[in-house]
Amino acid sequence: MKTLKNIFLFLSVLALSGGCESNIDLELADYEAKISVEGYITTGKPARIHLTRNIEFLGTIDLTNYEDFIIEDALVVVSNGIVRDTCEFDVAPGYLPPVAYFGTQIIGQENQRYDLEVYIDGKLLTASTYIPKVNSLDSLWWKADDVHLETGDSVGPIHYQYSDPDTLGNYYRLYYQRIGIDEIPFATSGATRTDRLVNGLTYESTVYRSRTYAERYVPEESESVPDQFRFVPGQAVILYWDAISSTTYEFWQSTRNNEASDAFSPSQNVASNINGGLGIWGGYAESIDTVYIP
Amino acid sequence: MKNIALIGVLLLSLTLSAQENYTVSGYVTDAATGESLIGANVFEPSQSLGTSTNVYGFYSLTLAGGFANIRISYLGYKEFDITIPLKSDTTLSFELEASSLITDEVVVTADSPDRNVEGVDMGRVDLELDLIKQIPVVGGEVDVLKSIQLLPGVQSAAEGSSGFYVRGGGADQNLILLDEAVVYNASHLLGFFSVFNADALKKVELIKGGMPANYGGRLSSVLDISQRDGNYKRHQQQGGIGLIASRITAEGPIVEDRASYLFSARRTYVDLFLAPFVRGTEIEGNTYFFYDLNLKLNYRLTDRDRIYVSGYFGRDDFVFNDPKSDYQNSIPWGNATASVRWNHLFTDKLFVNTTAVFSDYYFQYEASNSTFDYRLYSGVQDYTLKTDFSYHPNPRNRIKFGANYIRHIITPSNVGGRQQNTSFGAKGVNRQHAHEAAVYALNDFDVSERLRINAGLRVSFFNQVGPFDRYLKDPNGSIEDTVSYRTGETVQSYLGWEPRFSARYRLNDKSSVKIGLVRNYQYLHLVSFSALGLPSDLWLPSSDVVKPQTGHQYSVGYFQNFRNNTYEFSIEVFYKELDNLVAYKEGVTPNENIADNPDNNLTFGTGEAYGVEFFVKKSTGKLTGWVGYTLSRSLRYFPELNEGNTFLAIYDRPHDISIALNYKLSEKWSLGTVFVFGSGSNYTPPKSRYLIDGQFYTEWGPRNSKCLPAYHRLDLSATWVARKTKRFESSFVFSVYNAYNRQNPFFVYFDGQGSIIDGTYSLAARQITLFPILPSVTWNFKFL
Repeated sequence: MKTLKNIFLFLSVLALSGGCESNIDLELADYEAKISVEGYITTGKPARIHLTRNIEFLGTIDLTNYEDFIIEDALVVVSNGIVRDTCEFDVAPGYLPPVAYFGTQIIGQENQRYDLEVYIDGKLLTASTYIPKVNSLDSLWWKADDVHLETGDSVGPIHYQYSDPDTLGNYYRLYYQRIGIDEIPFATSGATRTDRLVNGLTYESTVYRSRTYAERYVPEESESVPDQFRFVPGQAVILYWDAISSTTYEFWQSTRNNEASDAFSPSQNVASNINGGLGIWGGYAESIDTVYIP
Repeated sequence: MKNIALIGVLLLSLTLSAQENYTVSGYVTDAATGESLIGANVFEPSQSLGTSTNVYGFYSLTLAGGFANIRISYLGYKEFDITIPLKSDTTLSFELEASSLITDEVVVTADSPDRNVEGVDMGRVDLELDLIKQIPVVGGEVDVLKSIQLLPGVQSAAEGSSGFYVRGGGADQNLILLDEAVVYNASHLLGFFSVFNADALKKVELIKGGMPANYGGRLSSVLDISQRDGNYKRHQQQGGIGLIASRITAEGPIVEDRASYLFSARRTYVDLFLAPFVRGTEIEGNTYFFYDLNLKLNYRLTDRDRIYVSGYFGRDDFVFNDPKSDYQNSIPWGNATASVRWNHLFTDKLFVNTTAVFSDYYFQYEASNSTFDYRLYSGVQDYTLKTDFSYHPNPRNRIKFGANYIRHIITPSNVGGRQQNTSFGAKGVNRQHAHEAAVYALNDFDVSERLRINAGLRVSFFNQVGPFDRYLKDPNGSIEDTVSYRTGETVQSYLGWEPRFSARYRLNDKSSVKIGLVRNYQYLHLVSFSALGLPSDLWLPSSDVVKPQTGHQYSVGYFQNFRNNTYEFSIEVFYKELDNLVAYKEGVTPNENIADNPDNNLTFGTGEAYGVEFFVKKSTGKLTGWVGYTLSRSLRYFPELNEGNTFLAIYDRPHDISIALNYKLSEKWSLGTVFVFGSGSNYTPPKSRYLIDGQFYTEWGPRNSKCLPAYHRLDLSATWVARKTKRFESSFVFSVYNAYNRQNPFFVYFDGQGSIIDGTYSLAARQITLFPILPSVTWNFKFL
């Protein structure tokens, strides 16, 4: 529907008036300090939890000085009902922010519930998540559908075939990582997916990549993306096919409408499962495949 | 018990005035065209008894036997007097001739001149098409809905939008009728234009207060629009060429004085305008247009039977064919209505209208390329059968009773498509089915010379039936079970008792006070993702999850006319309670209707609205028009929204002033102006930002808690009658929308500049202004 509103807005303005745009002074809501939690518990891996403070809406953001809003003095505990795992603060190269709390004992497992406790500033934040079971993709391949804007080489998305289980309510989040290029996995374009339209079917779909952090924030890299969010011959691409819970799915889906403050859609807060804070504590059941593009 | 008492009052009133009387009845029509005149005044001065014609031009007046002096009056027409010996029930129809005054005066109401004071109804405004056509609008396109937005108590959805909100109610709470057929989406092009082609219309009536019992199904208002019958005397053509659209209307007799036709068409040329400009640009391949077709056929079978067949068909169509790829996108939507009405006069006192209506609204979204196609379809289809009786037992009682049945077939977001070689989507069309029915009775009766009461009761029934699948979710939102209902099997039923009461107490010949108390049920709900009223908004029926919306409205008013009814003045105070309102849950994105129910994404709440409306209207003379001011508040409470705190409705506007004036300078020239001033739109202010996955998201503050700068605008128009002969009329309408180029915000957003890597990133609030100063010219013509 975003296509719809963009097209119509542009069309209406162009056709009817040539309307204009200008600055306006708007009142903001009163700032209230809160903690943002971005927590992952993934199969085969320890928990990774990024804690940051929210900033005033018009406050300056400088990611090179992330000390202003990261939290390094919290007590973070992950438990699976048996073991209480006190996480350790450490660097997390490639991530934003590049620091996180890492679990030391618990490794994520399918069909397991995990609770999170964060003690900070005399407050307790809690959350609970679940790692569902994941089924692997049937097959993956690459296919060209365009050309590189600079080299003229073929570029294209990764295709996959998947047999969705005949149990409604399976949710997925997809990440890609180009070996030797991307330091960490990045969410793909249209990363959050559901089986509502394809329940029980064997189907084919495509994966386009999204902007890396550098492409998003480094001016010289953000101006053009010559591969047009596709994958290029010679690349080896790891595709992370993660099954997630409905709560985690709703969280990532809700991020899509967060900035859409216009006449066509309301200002919507991002969903959260953090009691007393913002963000998400999500469980991910990961199936990993690598595509070598000849 | 209350309902039984109300029925008692209805019956008791029938016993009043049981004298030796005779009834005069018939139709009042325009002598030149044969068009029935709605609301013409039929009056017997010596007995001080009168009535007015109904929507079909029919009247029935019971008088004491002997000689009766009957006076027929209708503004803009010559008054007609006749004295008849009244020894038995008599059928008497009248053809009124247009007054010469009409050439030098603008008439803005067709009603009885003192109806403002005399009538029992509150919050009711009739707008003449003559006036609507002179109100300056965007691009010179005459627009019924934008005209009613200038009335007190009516808010627009957004700048330039045809969507409207009445007395704090929602956009879906307005019953929009075109020749008794429900129009579900009355807007073209995101609401910039209404679907109603003014050339095809006869009368526009808005009821925003005491909705009488013969109307139902919506909580806030009734917008009742009648199409013209077409000329019964001779063939005529008229049309207009504007910057945005052109229109043509043809009408005439099929059988002189017995049968007539009217056909009207309108089409935009945005697509034609754009084609040369977008070639080679990023939006090459875009086309958009809309069109409307109106048709009406009428046949006077006998003096007692008339048949009306009318229809409307309108479409918007947006197409995008990417010239650089095989991607294609098509988004058509529109309404179709058809109604067949049969008027029958059983006796001079008993009139019945029986109507069969088909109403259809659909929205479709199609996208495809060589490997993928996707289709989304939403729609509402209604099959309606209704019969309405008007019984005039004596001069002091005007009784209406009737029944209606509607078969609803609702298709919310049905999807299907193909990805590579795999088809996906619903197996067949995923529809929801419901029956809606109602019976009603009302009596408008004079208790005394001063006191008139309109008391009625409407009993409505709604039945959602299968085939239907209910998806049950666990506390985490995952589907845990499905309950299937067979075809015809009841899913949920609701019964609604809807008492309606209004009263007028006449203080003197020139002033009166009125009260109105109404209770309404609404079984269909429009779920909107934005306040703008997009064609993709979903209509959903009441169900096992969604209860019917209910509304109570209490209003009181003072009405006074001045200078021999030249000026009308009113103050109305209203208080409205709304229950079982629907909205999307926080953070929800509207989903396709597959493997889930759309109403599973809804949350429910209540509303409250109150306010006072001031209205001054001048109906005759060289200067006509009105001034309206509304002071109001509209609140919402949803336990699951805004952290459970009460919030302002998005369209809440505490202050709203509208001035619409026309001045007839000469035979050739007339001038018009509109000025509006209103409190700014509410918006949800941002509170803070926080980091997730390398991206900053916004934490929004209390919903709708701040408001944008005040909205104001001045529009001007001048109409020049270039040529006027017995056979041909030609005129130009020059208009300037937003004459002083006020930069009203259509919407606002925050624009980020710089990089968050080096600390140069900053945010600034930006506003989009949709319409700067916008001149236009329209040429209208008429072959007589």
